[in-house]
Amino acid sequence: MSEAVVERKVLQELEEDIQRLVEIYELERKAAFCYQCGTCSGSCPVFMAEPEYNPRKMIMSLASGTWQSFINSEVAWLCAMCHTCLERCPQRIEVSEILTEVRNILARRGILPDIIAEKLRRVMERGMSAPYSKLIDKRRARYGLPPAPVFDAEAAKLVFDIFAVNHVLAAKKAREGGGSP
Amino acid sequence: MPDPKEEKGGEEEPRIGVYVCHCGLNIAGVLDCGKLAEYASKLPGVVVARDYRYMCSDPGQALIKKDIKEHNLNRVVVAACSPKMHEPTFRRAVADAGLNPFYFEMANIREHCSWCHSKWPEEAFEKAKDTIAAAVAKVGRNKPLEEIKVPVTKRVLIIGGGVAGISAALDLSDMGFEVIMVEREPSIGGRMAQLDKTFPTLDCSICILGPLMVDVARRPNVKLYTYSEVIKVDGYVGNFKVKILKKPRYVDVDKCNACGECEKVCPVEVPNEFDEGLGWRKAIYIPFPQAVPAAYVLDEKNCLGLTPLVCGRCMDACKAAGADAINYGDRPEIIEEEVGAIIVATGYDLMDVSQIREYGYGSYPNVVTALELERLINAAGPTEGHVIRPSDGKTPKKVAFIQCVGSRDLKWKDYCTGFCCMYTIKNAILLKEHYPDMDITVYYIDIRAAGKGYEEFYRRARGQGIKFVRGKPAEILEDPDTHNLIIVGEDLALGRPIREEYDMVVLSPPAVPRWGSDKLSQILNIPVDRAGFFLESHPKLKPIDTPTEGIYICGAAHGPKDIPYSVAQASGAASRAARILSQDYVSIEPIISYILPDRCIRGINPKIECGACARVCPYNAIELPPGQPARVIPAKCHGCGTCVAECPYDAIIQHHFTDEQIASQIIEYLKENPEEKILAFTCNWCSYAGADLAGTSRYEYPPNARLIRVMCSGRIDRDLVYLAFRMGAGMVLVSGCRLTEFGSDCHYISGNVQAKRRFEAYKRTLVRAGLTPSRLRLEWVSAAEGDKWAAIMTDMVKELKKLGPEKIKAENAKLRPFLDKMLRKAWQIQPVLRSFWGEKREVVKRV
Repeated sequence: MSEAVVERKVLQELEEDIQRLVEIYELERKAAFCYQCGTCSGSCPVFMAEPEYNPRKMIMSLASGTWQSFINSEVAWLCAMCHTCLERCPQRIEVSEILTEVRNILARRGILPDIIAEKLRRVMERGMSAPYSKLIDKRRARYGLPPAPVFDAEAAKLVFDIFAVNHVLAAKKAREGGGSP
Repeated sequence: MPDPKEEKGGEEEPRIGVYVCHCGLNIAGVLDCGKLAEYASKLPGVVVARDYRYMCSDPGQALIKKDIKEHNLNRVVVAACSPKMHEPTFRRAVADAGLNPFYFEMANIREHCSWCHSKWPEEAFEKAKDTIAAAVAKVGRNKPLEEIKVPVTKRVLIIGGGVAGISAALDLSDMGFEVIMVEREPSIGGRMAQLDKTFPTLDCSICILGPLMVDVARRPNVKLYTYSEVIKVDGYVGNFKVKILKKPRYVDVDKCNACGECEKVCPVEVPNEFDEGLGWRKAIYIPFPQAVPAAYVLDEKNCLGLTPLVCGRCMDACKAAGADAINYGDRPEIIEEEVGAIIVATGYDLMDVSQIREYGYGSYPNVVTALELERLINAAGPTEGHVIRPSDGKTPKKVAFIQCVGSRDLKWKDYCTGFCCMYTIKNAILLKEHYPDMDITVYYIDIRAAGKGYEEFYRRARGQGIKFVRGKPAEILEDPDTHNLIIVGEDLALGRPIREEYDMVVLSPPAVPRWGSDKLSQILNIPVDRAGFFLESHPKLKPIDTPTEGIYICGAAHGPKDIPYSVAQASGAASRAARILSQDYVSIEPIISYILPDRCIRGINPKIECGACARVCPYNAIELPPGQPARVIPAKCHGCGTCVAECPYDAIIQHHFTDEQIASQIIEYLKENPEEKILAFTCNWCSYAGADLAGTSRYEYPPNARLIRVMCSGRIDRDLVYLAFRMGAGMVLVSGCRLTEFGSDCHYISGNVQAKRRFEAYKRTLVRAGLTPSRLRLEWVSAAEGDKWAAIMTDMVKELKKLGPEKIKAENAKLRPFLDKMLRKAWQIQPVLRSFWGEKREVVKRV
């Protein structure tokens, strides 16, 4: 799980982005309030299954400048976006929002696991991330649901352009092809 | 040579001495005190100006005294710390040298300048200069005043009969003072009576408290009112008038011999509050066996009818037992008492943790609070000391304690309750002693065992096999079949998830102020802190006093406290109260209001029945004799000055805070670059103290504000605000004690209500005349809200910069004719305005 997906050089590029994130969220100040109670990690469904994903340690490492270790691994992408940590933090630190922002930074640089990139590609092409088959329509009919709506690629492109999804995928391709993003 | 007392400080020209204190490096580290003294020496009326390392030291005070003699000074200004700190010290010093103590002013350049503006040394220096100049201007206009002496009633009222109240009562009774103790519950004893054992020695709680309870009730000079409440307090230090509501008990305390025959026949059963609702009691009951007074009480809410027609069994049983103590005709009674001092010892409640949904208290039967466990483990409790699971009555084999449930949590209570760590350790040890095989785990964030013998006690618990796991559980789940509880969280030491099943979970809830504390704070006119606990006068040097002279606090009413600390503080409160009670007279500051008979409209035109002053007076201190000018009763006046601001004829002055004196400060502050400054009117008790706290806590904020201290926000006259804008002030802030939907924290009951009403009126007028609304603000800042003060200042300066000096100047020019018109009258009666704008008097005439 923790095999390195980013080489050293990229980490240096990320330095600036993370620093900005730390500033925007006043992380150094806020993390100073973290008294390491473990409410976020204890609340986290991902942590329960995979203790390597530990939001408590991730926030602390962002604030203390030792974030390389977790960014350099696929664990950063495991968040289930339930936001329980954010709801329960006794010191009101926006744990899940900060970690979402970290993933955005990584994506902008084209650093994302293959499986996520694959899902993105599928959504762009077909409007859904799960593989589509006639079986799905059959099942929908059984539940009395109308057939799946037809994917309007033109309209969707507009949305994807706004979120620069293509850029993310291109950056990833360039990175893996050896070119610089 | 004539008597200096007669001569000095008369109507002669002011000869002022200014002393700038370095306060070590506290002031000198930021401000150049030498230069400040040099600046001060050039101010009008200043004869001598010096700087010295510690003005409050003996040599510092001697320096003032020597100068008064040598330079024939008649006024003194010390630029140093807050007047709340050392004003009394220096007043004494100038009095020693033969001056009237009110010929003294302090310029606060420490709390309001050097401690909070170190990032802006140049602007801070300007602020310090202005502050000194304003103090010099004011002191030149000060008048000699004599302190008012009033006799002292040598009795004390103690509100609350817990361990703190009892300790204070015993101390004061030993000293020979008469004590009146009021307890809301049917018995004294408080929280400590509910506990089983006490940490760290495991003494039995009621065994050590019981004798004290009996002792306090037996003493001839202690009057005990149980099942009673304080409903009204009037008066002032040495002379409080107290109204006590004695609720009907329906049982004659003297006749009842606690035989218990009534209880046996009573048909009504309700949950017992004393057992935290875990046990049952009858409608006629005695809270606990050791109750003092040892008498039953009939709970009228749950009794079937209070008449022999409906039930009457208890009365029959009582008669049969030969006591005849029950009287269904008992009625509430209001008793009036006079006391010289009051001690508040109302204690605490535990927060209702059922609001914290993730722990399931209230819906999972086997999640209990620490106080419930206390009753379960107590031999006199509902289970006779057997700890059982509420769901099935079985003894739990595996128990978890969770710490900081709602304490140290910004979503609930941000403070640390302090004693939970220790009582949890104590309860864990007790459980281990009762049930050696029990598996006990304590989940904690930090264990706070700072106290004599506390850390050793913690070590003892670890040695007995109690497990301590660092990590706050995220949630508790319940197995619906067995009602077992599953704790989910992270073990921080190992970084591993926890999913452990327990038979019972004990929560440590935060301590909160006892219910009704908010109401009592209004009855007594004493402020509370952000959490609702009673606020001390000074966090270090007056930790037991309230801002109201003669009222003291002790025990958990002041903040969560364990037993030894409460008892120690109770003795402190007793000694503070004795300080007043042992004197024959107390002096009151003569800063009261005075009505000028020749200016009061009632005297000029007896047909006009004006009573504006009496209407706003919170103390009914103004009498309105028909056809004659209104009169202030000096002993009743507290000196808030609300009437002064209210009088439409400017016929009232407040000694030491006259319009003339305040106007001189405003003018001095706003002589140069006024559009860059914020003129802040602050009340002495809350906002000024809040600004002091911002300094003491070293919150940095830009130094644009110039503060004027008045006793109450109710003193702030419309004309003073108009004058500030006429002088070109960039912004004006009016601030006082908190006024919220829950009530007013005003030291003078309702001064801030008047301030708000007036503020809304003059703000409307000013905005209509062309003022940008953001330039005039009203804010409530309590003495505990230093951070809020700093935030308001930062915000206002941001706004001020946004507006920019040019826009403000243009707006002020537009406002000027209007303000000149509004200030026309003040101009006529205040020499300071004439001396400053004298050459422009014709402008006024034209308007």
